[in-house]
This record gives sequence, C-alpha cells and structure tokens, in this order.
Amino acid sequence: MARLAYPDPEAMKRSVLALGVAALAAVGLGLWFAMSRSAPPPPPSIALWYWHTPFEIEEPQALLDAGVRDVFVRAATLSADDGHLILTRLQRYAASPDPLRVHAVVRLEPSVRTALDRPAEIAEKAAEAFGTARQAAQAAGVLLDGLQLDFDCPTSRLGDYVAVLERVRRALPDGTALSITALPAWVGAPSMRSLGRAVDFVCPQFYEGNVGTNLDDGRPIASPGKLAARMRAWDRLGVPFYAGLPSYGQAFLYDEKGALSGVYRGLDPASALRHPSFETEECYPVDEHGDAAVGERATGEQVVRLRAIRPTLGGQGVGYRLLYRLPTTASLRRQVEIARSTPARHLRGIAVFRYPEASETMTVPRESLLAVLRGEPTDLDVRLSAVVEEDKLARIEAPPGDTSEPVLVRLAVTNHGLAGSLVAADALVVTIRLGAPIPEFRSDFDSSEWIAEAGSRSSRMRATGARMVRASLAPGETARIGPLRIERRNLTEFRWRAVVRDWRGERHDIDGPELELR
Amino acid sequence: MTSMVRSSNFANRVGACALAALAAGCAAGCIFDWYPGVHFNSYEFDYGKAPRRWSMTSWGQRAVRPIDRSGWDRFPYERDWERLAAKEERRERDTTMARRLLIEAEFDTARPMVRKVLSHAGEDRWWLQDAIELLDATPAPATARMRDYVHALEAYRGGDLPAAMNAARRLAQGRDAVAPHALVLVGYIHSAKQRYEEAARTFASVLVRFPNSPRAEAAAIMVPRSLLRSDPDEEDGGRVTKVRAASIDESREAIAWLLKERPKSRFGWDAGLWLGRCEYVQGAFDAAAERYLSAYGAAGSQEQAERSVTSVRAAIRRMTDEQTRTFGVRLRKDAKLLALYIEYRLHYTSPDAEELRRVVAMSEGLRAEGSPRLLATLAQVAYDEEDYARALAWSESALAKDPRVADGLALYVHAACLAKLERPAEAERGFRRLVEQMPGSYLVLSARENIALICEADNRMGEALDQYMELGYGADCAYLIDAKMTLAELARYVRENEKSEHADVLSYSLAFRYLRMKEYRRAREHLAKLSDEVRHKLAGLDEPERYRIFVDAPFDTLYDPLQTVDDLERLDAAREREGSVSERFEAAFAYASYLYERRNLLFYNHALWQGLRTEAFGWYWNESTATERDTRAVRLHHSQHECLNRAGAEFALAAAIVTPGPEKARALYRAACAARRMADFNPYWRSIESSERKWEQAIELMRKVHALCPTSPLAPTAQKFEKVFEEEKREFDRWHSPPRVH
Repeated sequence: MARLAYPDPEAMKRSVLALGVAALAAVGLGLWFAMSRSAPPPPPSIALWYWHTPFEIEEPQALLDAGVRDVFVRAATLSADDGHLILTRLQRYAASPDPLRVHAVVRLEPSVRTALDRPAEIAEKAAEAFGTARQAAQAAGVLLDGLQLDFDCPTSRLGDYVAVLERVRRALPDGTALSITALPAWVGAPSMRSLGRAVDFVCPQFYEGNVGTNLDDGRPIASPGKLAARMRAWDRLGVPFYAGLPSYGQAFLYDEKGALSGVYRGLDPASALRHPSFETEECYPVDEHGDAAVGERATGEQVVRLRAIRPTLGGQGVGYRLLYRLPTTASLRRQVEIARSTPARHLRGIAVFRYPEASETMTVPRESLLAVLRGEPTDLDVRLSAVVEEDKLARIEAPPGDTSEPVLVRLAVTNHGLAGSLVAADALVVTIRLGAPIPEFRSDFDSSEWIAEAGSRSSRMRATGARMVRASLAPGETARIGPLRIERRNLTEFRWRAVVRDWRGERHDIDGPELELR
Repeated sequence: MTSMVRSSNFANRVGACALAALAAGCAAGCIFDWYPGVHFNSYEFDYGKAPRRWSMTSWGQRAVRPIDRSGWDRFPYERDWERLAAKEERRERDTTMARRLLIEAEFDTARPMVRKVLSHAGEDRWWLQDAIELLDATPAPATARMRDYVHALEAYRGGDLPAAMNAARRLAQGRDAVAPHALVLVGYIHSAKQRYEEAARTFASVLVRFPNSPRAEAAAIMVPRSLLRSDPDEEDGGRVTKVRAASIDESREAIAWLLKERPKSRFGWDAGLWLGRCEYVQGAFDAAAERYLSAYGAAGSQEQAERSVTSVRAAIRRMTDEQTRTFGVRLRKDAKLLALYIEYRLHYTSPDAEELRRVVAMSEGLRAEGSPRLLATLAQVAYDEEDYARALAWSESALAKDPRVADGLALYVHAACLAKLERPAEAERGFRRLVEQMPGSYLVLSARENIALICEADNRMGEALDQYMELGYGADCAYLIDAKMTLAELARYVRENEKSEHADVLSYSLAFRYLRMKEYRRAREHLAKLSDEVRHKLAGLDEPERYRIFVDAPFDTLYDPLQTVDDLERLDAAREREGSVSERFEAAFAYASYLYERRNLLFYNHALWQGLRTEAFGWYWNESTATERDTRAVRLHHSQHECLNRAGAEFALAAAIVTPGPEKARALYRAACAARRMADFNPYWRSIESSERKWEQAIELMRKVHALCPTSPLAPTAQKFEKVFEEEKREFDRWHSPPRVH
C-alpha cells in the first residue's frame, strides 16, 4: 500500500513563497509591459535637410521655437570617376546655428555603386569628408555632431553598404552620431536590421515613390494616404528613425512622345508659364494617384504642365512637355500631422527636405515651413493697396495756361499670408476700370489687355480699362501696377478688383480700396 | 536624394556640371556682375552715351560705367600687398604720433606731422584740422592754454563731455587765439547734448567776438546746422520740422556773414544748401528747389551731389500747385537752372520718352539765348534719344560758345555723334581733346573707352591697349595681349615698352604667344629676360594647384613655361626626325600625349587672366562691341590655348602615320577622348559646338577604332563608347539649349 506522502511543511512554505514571488514578478512584468506599450512616446523632434551653400541660418531661435533640433547639412559629394573616388562640392560654413545640432551629410553619387566591392576605400573617403567638413565648420564656429551618408544603394547591395558603415563608424570620433538616409524599398530587405544596427538612426524618405518614366504614369512627390502604413512598417524594424517628408517641388522634361527625358533645371514655374516658348496644358491640385482632385481627395500638391511650342536654339524641343510638381503648405501640413499622430515607438522625429534658399520658388518658404511645424494656420491673405499723389513733375513741366491736374496712381497687390496662390496662368487677375481713356503704364504682371467699358477686349485707343494676369503670388510677394498718370477728376470713377485662386483653385474676389489723393 | 531618373555617367556629370554652372552662373550673374571693361561687361552699353556725373547709390542707381580703377594695378600680380599694408600701417602710426605730440604739447614737432596726416586722417580729421588752425594762428612758443585746449579736445573726442565743457568754458574766457577755438568747442558740446538753441547762440557769439578767427567759418555754418535741423518725423517723410522765424533769420544772417566775409570758405557750398533749407522750412519749396538745384550744379563730391539731389527731390514732392507753376515759369526763364533740372530729370527720375519731350519743350524759349550748358544738356538728351543729327547740331552750338562747358559734356556728345555718323577720326580727336584739356572731367574715363574702341576699329591695337592700361581694365588688357593683337603687333608693343613698369608681364605674355605658335626660340628669349623669381611669380608657381576645383583632379595645374618650352621643343624635334614608321609614330604620340596629360593650364597665362578667362569669355563677353576681327581672334585664341584640342589633332596625325593596328587604335582612341571633352569643355566651346562638331568627331573617331582596328584590345571599349558618346550627344543637344527668357 502506498504510503500517503504528506508534503513537508517547510517545503510547502518555500513553494508558496516561490509561487508568490513568481506571481508578483509576472504581474510586475505585465504591468511594465502594458505601461510601456501605452505610454505616449515623446513628441517627435524636427530635423531639416540643408542642401545649398553656404551653410548659414539666420535667426536659429525661430527654428528652435518651431521644434527644430537637428540640421542635416550637405557637406560633400563623393563620386567615382574611372575607378577613383573623388570628393567634390564641399560645403562652406558661414555662421553658427548654435544651439541646433548639426550633422554633416556626405552624398554618395550613384557612381559609387561601382566601388561597393571596396568598402574600406569608401569608408575612408567618407571619414575624410567628415574630417574636412569638421575643420571647415569649426573654423566658422559650427560644431558637427554627426555624420549622415546619403546613398541610394541598390537593395541587393545593402550587405556591402553595412560593411562600409561599420568601417565608417570605427573611423569616426567617439560621440559622433552616424546616420543614413534610406529608400522606402529597403524596408523589407534582409540586410535592413544589420544596417540599422550599424547606425544610430535612419532617415527613410517617404516621398518620390514613383516618378514614372512616362508623362501619364507619374505620381505625386508625397503620398499622405500611405504615410502612416509606411511609418508603421519602418517602426517594426526596431531601428530609431526620422520620417523624411518633402517640402520641395520638382520639374521634369518629357520628350514629344511623353517619355521621361530628365530633370529640368531651367525656368521656375511662374517664368515658364509666361514664357512665349510654352503653352499651358494643365494646372491642377492632385490626389494620391496624380489625378486632378477637389475637396478631401486633394493632397495639397499641385501639377503644372506645359508644352513647348517653339524649338530651342539647337532646333529641337518642339512638343516636349515640362511638368512641375509643386508642394504647398497644405501638403506639408497634412504629412506632418499624420507623422505626428501615427504611433511609432522608434520614431525619433520628422526630417523635412529641405530648408529653402531665399530665392527659391519651388520649395515651401521658410516662414511658411516654420508656421506649419508650429501648427499655426497658413492662409492666403491677399490685400490691395493704392497710393495717389500729384504728378509734381508734370505740373512743373506743363506749358503755360495748362489747367490739367495730373496725378500718379500706384497700385499694389500683396500676399500677406503664409500660403501662396495656385500656380497657374491666371492665378491672379486684376481688372482696372477708369471710365475715361486709360494711359500706358507698367506693371509686374505677366500679360495685360485693354478693355472697354463693358469689360470686353478693346483697342488701345478706345480702352477705358485694363486686365492684367499673373501666374502666381507667393507668400510675401507684391505685384505692382503703375504709376498710372491720370487726371484728378477721373479718380472718382476709378475701380479695381483682384481675383486670386488658392491652391485648391477656389476664387477669392477682392475689391480695391477707393482712391484718395494723399 | 533618390534614384528617380535613369542615370548614366554622363547624366551624372551633366547634372553636376549643370549644378555647378547654375551656381556659378548665379554667382556671376547676381553677385559678380562684371563692369570694369569694354569687351567684357555684364551690361551692353552704348559707349557713346555720356555717363551720369554722379552715381547715386539710392533708388537702385549704381555706378556701372565707367568704373574708376585708378587706384588699382593694371595687372593684379603686380600688386605689392606688403607695400600697401606697410603704407597703411605707416599712416596709422603717423596719425597716432601726431595726436600724441599734440597731447604732449610738442607743438613744433607736431605741426609738420599733423599736416602730413591731415588728408587721410579719416575720423580724426576734424580735430586735427582744428589743431592745425590753432597752431597756425598762434606764434611760437606754445602756451599752457594751447595745451589745455588740446586736452579739452581730447576729452571731447573721448566722450568725456563734462570735462571738455569745463575746460572749454574756462579757455573761452580769454582773448587770445585759443578762445575762439574753445568757444566753438563749447558749441559742439551743446550740440552733442542736443541743446541746439544754446549751441547756435554760442556759434553766433564767435562771429561777434572773434570775426577774424579761422574758426569763425565753422561757427558760421554751424548756426544753421544747429537751428534748422530736421526732426525724425520729417526724415520719415512726415511734416516739415517747425522752426521759429527768428531761427531762420539768425541762420540767414550767419550764412550771409560767411558768404560776404569768407567768399572762398570751404563751407561755401554748404552755405548754398542751407539757404535752400531756410526756404524749405518756411514752406517755399519752389525757392528751395532752385537753391538745391544750384547746389547740385556746384557739387564737388559724391556726398554733396547726393545731398543736393535728395533735397531737390524732397522739395519738388512737397510743392503746392502754385509752387509747381511758379517753379516751371522760373525754369523757363533761367537757362542755367533749366539745364540742371534737365540733368536731374535725365539721370535721377527715369523719364520715359514722352516726359523727355516735355522737358525738352521747356527749353524752347531759351535756346535762342543759347546758354552753352543748356545746349550741351539738350544735346545729351538728343543723343540718348538716338537723334544724332540734332545732338550734333546742339553740341556744336554749345561748343561755339564755350568749349569747356559742363565739364566737357558738349565735347563728349559731339565726338560721340561723330562716331555714330561714321566720322571716327574726328570723333577720336574730340575724345582726345577732352582727355588732354580737361583731365579732371568726369567724362575722361568714358572718353578713353571710346578712344580705345576707335583705335581697335582702326587696327591701332597698341594705342587701344594704352587706353585700357590707363583705365585699369585688366580683362581688356589681357584680351588684347593674349588674343586680339597679332604677334607682330604685340612684339612691336613689347619693344616700344621695354622700359615700362609692365615690361615683365608684357615680355612673359609674348613668350606665351610664341610658345603657342611653337616658336620655341623666341619664347625662350623672352622668358630669359625675366629672373627665375619673376617668372615663377608670373606663372603662379607658388601655388600651382590653385585652380583645382576637384580635389583629386590632376588636370588643372600650372606649369613653368620655360620647362614647357624645353619639353615641347624636344618632343617636337623628335617628331621631325627621320626614322622608321614606328619611331615616327612613337614621337608623334609622345608629343600629343604631353599636351593630353597636362591639359587645361599648360598654355594658360595666369599673370594676365588671374582665373577670369573662362568666365570672361563664357559669361561677360560683350557682343555689342565685338567686331568680326574680335570673333576670329577669340576663336583662334581658344583653339590654340586648349591643349586638349591640340592634342586631339596631334593624335589624329599620329594615327595617320601607321597602318591599322594597335598603335593606330591607341592614337584614334585618345583623339576621340580629346574631341569628346572639347565638345563640352566650357561655355565658350559649348557655344561654338554647332560649328565645331566635336561630338561628331568623337563618335566618328571611336567608330574608326573598332572599324579599322577590330583586333586591337581597345576595339570593344571603343565600340561601347561610340554608343555612349552618341547617347551623350543626344542628351547634350537636349540639355544644352533650354528655352531662353527673351
């Protein structure tokens, strides 16, 4: 008979204790896990890519106020020529952006792909570029905090790229952050995790997914509808990352058959719209697929398409198409909001390409960019103003007995807002009606026509008004008209109004103020 | 950032080049516009147009022609920076020394030193002038009061106004030469404390107590300056500053005293302007404008011109209806005043054609009276309107009355009209007369530009070069010396200028021209005239890689021309030697390879061009002055200068020596590569590609490599690159000529 075996009380005590500890540990672990899952991540910080020369940021405090903490500055370009790796386009540093963190970006041109079997050599050159950049920057009082490599490496060669990065890491001074830009296609690559381990963070570029080799199959620069899913996919890799978002525009040239011919670096869109060698085909806001869109479907991006109707000096080019894809504050805002609201544990921040040059027309201007980052509204705010003064010189020079009272009228249409108008041939139309013969005058508009009392086109001799058209009105921009030399008695009959279209293409009618002699 | 377009090496290169060109183009076009030149200029002038007498920096009016380069060396390499720095240092040291001597009361020693530094003393000038006036007015020996006064000045200069005031007040009590200086200083201190009424009273008291003191002039002009100041509201375009009637009277009185007692005072011009201010603050803007216009006519410096033009503009803007009519009537009666008004309108108000006609019509009643200044101005207006016959007639009428009128304006317009009417000899005489007889005229530099152009058109290149040297237009000098002058013309010029300060650079440049023409002996002769040190300096050998843009690019290196002469002479001689086909081929190949491997700067005259050559011909070439001879000279210069271009031709010659085989393939292959590079070498070569057809040459040569020498190891590569070149050519044709903005 089997003897009943009573448990040893001491052993029972130990077992109960052990079970209790284990249960507590499990509960604690569960709580910790649950809390860590539900704790809101810190707000993503902002980084800007700075791509032009020299490196100089005015009022860096304004950037800090908008949440910008890092600047990725193009520092040098590495290319391979006949097997030799050469460094070109070295950045010049003009001013210190302290207290922003600055990372030197070394761009590896596609030709470097041919040297991927020599990772040590590429790493050595990249480190040399960083050393050179660090010296040049320090001389201007700029401290470099990190190195970023910008390389459109073929996905199949990412393993080689890892070898390069591991060597670069070893060559960098301690404490220097190492990062890379990344193509969207890399997210599913087997080498991606090793790539992530080789660097401190990655900047996947959530834009330019499909440029298209034909005129009709191109896509917008950004696809806000896919942004959240793409971010989640990157987050799953477990690699800290900045979500790369675009604020720039691009222009492509297509041949007469509609095949992509290359990137166009000639005229800005407004100049092309007024250029006699082109006729406007289409200007419209686009949806995710690149089709014309209205309402919620519009991504904020805009397309301007022109056709060359005259040949170049070399005799070619008739029938070629110019296609501009232009960002707006609306397109940037939408992406930033999505990036900020998408839960992603490894999201470090948002990186915007790029910090605009002062004279750029195809990139969201600085003040508008910062307003979007601060979450402030960016509206089109067009106002009309006029100055009327006596034409003193005409009066001095009037022949004796002349009783005329000439005045000079100067009109101005100013965009006080942070959003630009639509870019289209007739984005801004100003109509002037005088009620008397209208004099010749100058203006900043692209084209003008004389009109009669009824508003129809008229000959110069019979004209009592004029209609002027302009292709865009950027934030802060003013389009001037005049001076118009008219008789003072005609001032009361003077009427003028502007019609401006916003990025959606919606019309805004604005009446000009009544004219009063100053 | 992304791989968005199909890429090839060429596309990458084109992209990089386009970006570089864009950046450089922006820099050149927006930041580095080039104006000091005739053949190279960002703006295409009609050089016959008379320039403005003064160029205002406000209202967007810039000094673009002519550019005064009188302070510049003709050739930058000649600038002795150390000497210039030493001179500047010496001046600063002398000024400090003068000041110290004055403070230490070493007046006898200080006197010559102060005189020496006075003209370039800058901010210290006012008090050094004060001190020298005091020293001149005081017989030796120096007194303690003089020393105290200098200390008071020093305190004022250092901003210690209480100390300065105490000392100045005490010193002003006396009756000696120091007292008026001290009294004026008291006035300055009141002004510094914005106590303008007290300041004016103090300055006025100087005229009563010390009318014979040299400081009385300064005191007199300081009375209106203290009383008629404009307040900030007026400066911003608001209402005119209110001034008491008594203050205006006191100001007029002080100005009247100055003009009567000191008619040659250095403040005479200011007095005229302040009289205008008296009218202005009273609301008599027509009378004020009249005074200001007269002041404009008498302006002797840029600052005076700007002050008077700004004042004219302000007065006209504030005129009432009645005043505009009165002013118009007044202008119609005074030819001299009308001439100044027309000049003001022409240069500072951007009038359109209708306005100009209106302005000219104002002179109808006065032309018969025949004021030479008015006629000269009308002639200028007519020239600008391209009515040369009328401009000639009016300028002749002006010259008949006064050949020197308006600083030579009539003479200038007359000569310019003659040039337009194809009477260059008479035109040149007119311009030369202006240069010789009125060397101080603002039109002298423009006259020289015209003389140079006339001489060039008459193939008198040496005389044209003399003018460019005088003007300091380095790029024009370089162009004539390095490209336009024939070898004979240049050799004669060098001979005639053996003693000139530019003899070194001339001899060096002639040597380069001989070198490019393969006249090695003569090249060596001229280089031998220079010491090693000078030759190295001219060749820029202290930093032979200064032109390298790409860190690892070996082709932008400067070489010693003497070594080049020796090398090329040797290689050329070997080529000429009799020998087997193989030997002759190797010699020809070696010669071509020497050019091919040294490339871009082997024949570059660094001393003349200083890095500007490519940009000068590519971006600043002034088509409006280019004649057929210029076009030919530029073409020839480029074909001789570019080693790669010459190497291509030499390789083709070498290839012709041998029958098809590996040697021929080597030579043809390099000839093809040279032609390929030249097709896209720089802006100038791109601009002539339609006639040079280097792309086609390159493709054809590559085709020959594999077609004629199919067994050569280079054949497969050539086959590949023939296609690459074809693709590149297509891209070049597509990219190179984007639509231009008209």
